Amino acid sequence: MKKITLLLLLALAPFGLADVSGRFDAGTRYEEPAAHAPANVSRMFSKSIDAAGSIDLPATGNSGMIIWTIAEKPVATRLRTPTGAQLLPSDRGSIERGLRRFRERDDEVLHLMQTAPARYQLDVDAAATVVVAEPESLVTLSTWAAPLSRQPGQPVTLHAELRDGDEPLSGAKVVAHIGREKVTLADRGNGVYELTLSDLSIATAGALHIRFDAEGATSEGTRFARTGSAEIVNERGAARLGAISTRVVDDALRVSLDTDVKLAGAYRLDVIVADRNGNAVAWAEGRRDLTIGNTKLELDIPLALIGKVEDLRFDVRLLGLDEIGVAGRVTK
Amino acid sequence: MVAGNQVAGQIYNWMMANAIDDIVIETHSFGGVVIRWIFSNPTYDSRYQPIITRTRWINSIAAPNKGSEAANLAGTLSGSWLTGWMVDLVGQNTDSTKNCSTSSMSYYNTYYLKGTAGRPAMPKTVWNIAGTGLWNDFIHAEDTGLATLSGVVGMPGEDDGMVSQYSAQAVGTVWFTTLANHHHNRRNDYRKIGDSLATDF
Repeated sequence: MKKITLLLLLALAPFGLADVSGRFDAGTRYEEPAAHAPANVSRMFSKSIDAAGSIDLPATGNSGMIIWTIAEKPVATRLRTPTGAQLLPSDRGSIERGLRRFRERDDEVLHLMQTAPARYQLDVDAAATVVVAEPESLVTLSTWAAPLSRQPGQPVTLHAELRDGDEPLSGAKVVAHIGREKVTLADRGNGVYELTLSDLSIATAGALHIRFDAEGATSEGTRFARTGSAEIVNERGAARLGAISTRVVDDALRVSLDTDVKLAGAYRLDVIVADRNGNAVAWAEGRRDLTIGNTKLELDIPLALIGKVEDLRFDVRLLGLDEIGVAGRVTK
Repeated sequence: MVAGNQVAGQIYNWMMANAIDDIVIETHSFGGVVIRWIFSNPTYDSRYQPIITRTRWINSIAAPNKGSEAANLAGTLSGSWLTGWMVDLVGQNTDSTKNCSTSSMSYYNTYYLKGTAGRPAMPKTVWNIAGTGLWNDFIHAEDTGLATLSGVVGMPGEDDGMVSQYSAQAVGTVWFTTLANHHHNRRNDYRKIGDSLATDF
């Protein structure tokens, strides 16, 4: 009796994991995976000091300024303004002075309601990281990195763009921190800074955060600083996908491809079908538990979902389920 | 995935033990992303499809469907002393916070999750609720923190201090917006959206 129960359980398991498919909503356009995530737009910068000292805070003016001090323990800060006025550590400021100090637990936030385009200075009595934002400033740093899904060996492009409203800001210094590496982006003109790394020293799979730091001056000579960020996903190189072939089998279109699996595990096989006009038509997906080596992957899409089988485009993806990551993608 | 399995396990065990076959799911913040993972991956785990089948619809409050600029900041500050009250709000650069960066969510939306533009639709209707207020209650330190975060990270458009409106509304149909910030739309103690949720069945 126990054996029979066990067999029933085993037999039932695949029913819960059957492939699924569906039709796209009418009017949905097929979208290729974006080369990179949307640009992150920054009006802030971050600086750290290892011991007590002063930090320069360049302000672009025409904005308020938020100064957030993060430290291992409560710190005392003194803000010096371009006019020589000071906000002493014990001074909470006031709305009338346009300068206020908020303290909550170990954090401290200073809020300047309006800055002049000049250098402010923050004296800190211990090691700290200071995050400074100019929420209404027109000076922005937009950053992205590509490709968003990076297979081993693929080059990485780091992109930054500095603008003062509609005006591009050239002549700035833009560095990127990627893992332990620090690299300087080349000024391409028109406010664009870029660098392509032929390979990465970081082999670790997963999301890779990139920090950008920019310093420069506007056309009026006002100094500014900005910190931005971007991310890519370092893929594991888990599989190599071969060419897609299709054929009608009974009442379905069977999509097949040979695959060289490098890393065993659970994967999701995705097929997206679009027409020649770029309309997304149908999709199908199913879990596949794969072992290392060559294997043929197949997924059926009911003909009822796609209508005619001519003039179709196919986008096939193999996605990791044990570990998040794109194992491979091919199109036809 | 880990969070998805935990949530799916709780829902599945509860619905099976109590013979529940008609469910409205209410989510807040990252919970909305976790539910999208379950509903986007019915072949991943045998518990997922039965949950999908028995769900009538999902009410998603302030989900970072396209990520949160606050989570981006957590990544930028990694390596700093990640302590303190505002960092607590950001999420200490935990796995869930990292997964909610705008780049990470762009990746998940492109490859794994359903419901955003150009992707297969979610198998059940999602009604979204976005927060658009910051200063709900001046005596709450969290309100000061969220308003500061909103300014520091420069969230585009309206936001609730943690999630921008565009991100919360990137999946599903707009049900309504609330002036409750991210702290209060979770606690249901300001402009109580829980009253709407409790009668939505």
